[in-house]
Amino acid sequence: MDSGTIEETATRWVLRQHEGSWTAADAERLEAWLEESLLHRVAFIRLDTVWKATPRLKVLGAGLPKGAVPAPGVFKASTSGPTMESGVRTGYTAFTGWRRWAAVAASVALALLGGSYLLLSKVSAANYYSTPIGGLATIPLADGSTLSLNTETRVRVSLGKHERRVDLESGEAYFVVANDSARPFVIYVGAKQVKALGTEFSVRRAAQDLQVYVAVGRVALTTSPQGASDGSVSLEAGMVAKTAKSAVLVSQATPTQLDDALSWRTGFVTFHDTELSDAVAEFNRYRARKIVIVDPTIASLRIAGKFRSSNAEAFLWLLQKGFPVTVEEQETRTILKRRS
Amino acid sequence: MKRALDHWFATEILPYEAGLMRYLRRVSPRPADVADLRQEAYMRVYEGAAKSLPQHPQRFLFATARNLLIDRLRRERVVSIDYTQDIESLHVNIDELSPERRLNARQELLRLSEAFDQLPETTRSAIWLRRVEGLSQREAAAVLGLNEGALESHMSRGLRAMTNATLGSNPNTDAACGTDKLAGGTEHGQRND
Repeated sequence: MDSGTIEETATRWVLRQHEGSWTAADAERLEAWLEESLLHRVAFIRLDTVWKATPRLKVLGAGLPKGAVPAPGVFKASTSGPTMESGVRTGYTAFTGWRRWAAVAASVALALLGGSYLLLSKVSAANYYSTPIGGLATIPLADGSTLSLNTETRVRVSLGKHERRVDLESGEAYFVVANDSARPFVIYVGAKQVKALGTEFSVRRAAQDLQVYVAVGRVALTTSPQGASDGSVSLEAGMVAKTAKSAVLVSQATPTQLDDALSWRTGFVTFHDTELSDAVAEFNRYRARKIVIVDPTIASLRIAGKFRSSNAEAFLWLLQKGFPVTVEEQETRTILKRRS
Repeated sequence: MKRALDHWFATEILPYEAGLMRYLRRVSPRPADVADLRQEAYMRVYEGAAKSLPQHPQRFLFATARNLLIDRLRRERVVSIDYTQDIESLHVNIDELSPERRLNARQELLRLSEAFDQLPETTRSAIWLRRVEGLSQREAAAVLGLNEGALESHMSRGLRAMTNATLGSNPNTDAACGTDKLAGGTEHGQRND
């Protein structure tokens, strides 16, 4: 019996499960390791419990610029702060701001800390989070869940007593949901709902329709308005569901398809035998200056590859190299033509 | 099913870790064994709870730890010279039981922030950037001027140190300093309730 070695392994698992590269296969391997011995399991629970609590440290940084680490001792010094709510930070934008690695402003934090602590007890207040075009953000929620927002995404989060509610107003988000059976975690897309049953999944919104990829666990998708008894579909890990009005198309994704579909979390777009028009549409999600195919005969070219979503230039350059395509930069857009 | 039990364990058993460690440190002849004993006690508690959930988690935890030590004593064929304890001395002291009541959210956060503050600067920054600012491993490494491997080892050491400190498992946080820091914080919090 060597609790040190087990603890090291458990630490690696705890850290890895929150990485962007975490896959359904990893989750299975973790499950197998936990099943191997209860010593593994209790070591994991112990570390995971503290790890899941760490995002709560956010209150120490109230009032600090994004990217600034609060000075030690900030929290203790504020044990009897005033009870004001004005210090609560609600805004959140993509983490392009991390470069603003600013100096510590502990005095500001002190002034605001008493107020921000209120956020913990009044968790039902709604917060909005959004990303601009090309943005990507990971947001730890107070309940231990994590949200990853893809480009041009806007969500409203309200952690209530009886329900944890996320309204996906636009875009795409990936959810890692902390287990809390007393408070179901439900994503609303207009009248449609995706209910987490202890799980990880992504939801992408397009007008009133949505697409769900389930990476771990299970979700229930409801397309009819609340109260209707029918229209609930249960989705297991590895499944994809697309809605068209109230109809739902469910299919089984291969592990590769699932990885591809979720690769945006690490800043990539991935194509396998994808039509050029679809690939271009995917890149256009991440750029203000849109790419337009003016020649329909090249729209159905099949391409494959993995690209940084922010680096369409590399994609365009390779496209010119390998295909009969020319790229023409115009004032407000990028044109793709067949090379003559 | 499993998940519910994991949650029970985290909320009903882990809060008593500081007291459990005080007990184990007192009764275990070899300081190096304490972490092993703790984990084995945890394993037995989890195993027992899987069969039927104990009514009094704290009592169950300490009874389990005591039984574990009794088993150990009986198994040791040759009792080492410093292993002078008999089963009678394995009783649980009241001070090992009393301080660790369940903490409220405020007290939990206080412990967490104290544990966070004890980390070395780079480790502390790494945890902050990854867990609070939500930076990816690569981005956090770039900000701190580390390679990803070094960042990972900071994260790993940071997590273990924070776990021990948050749960009150460290020896330097009790006994020696009279009323230790963590227990002091707890008492203070209780007075406020």
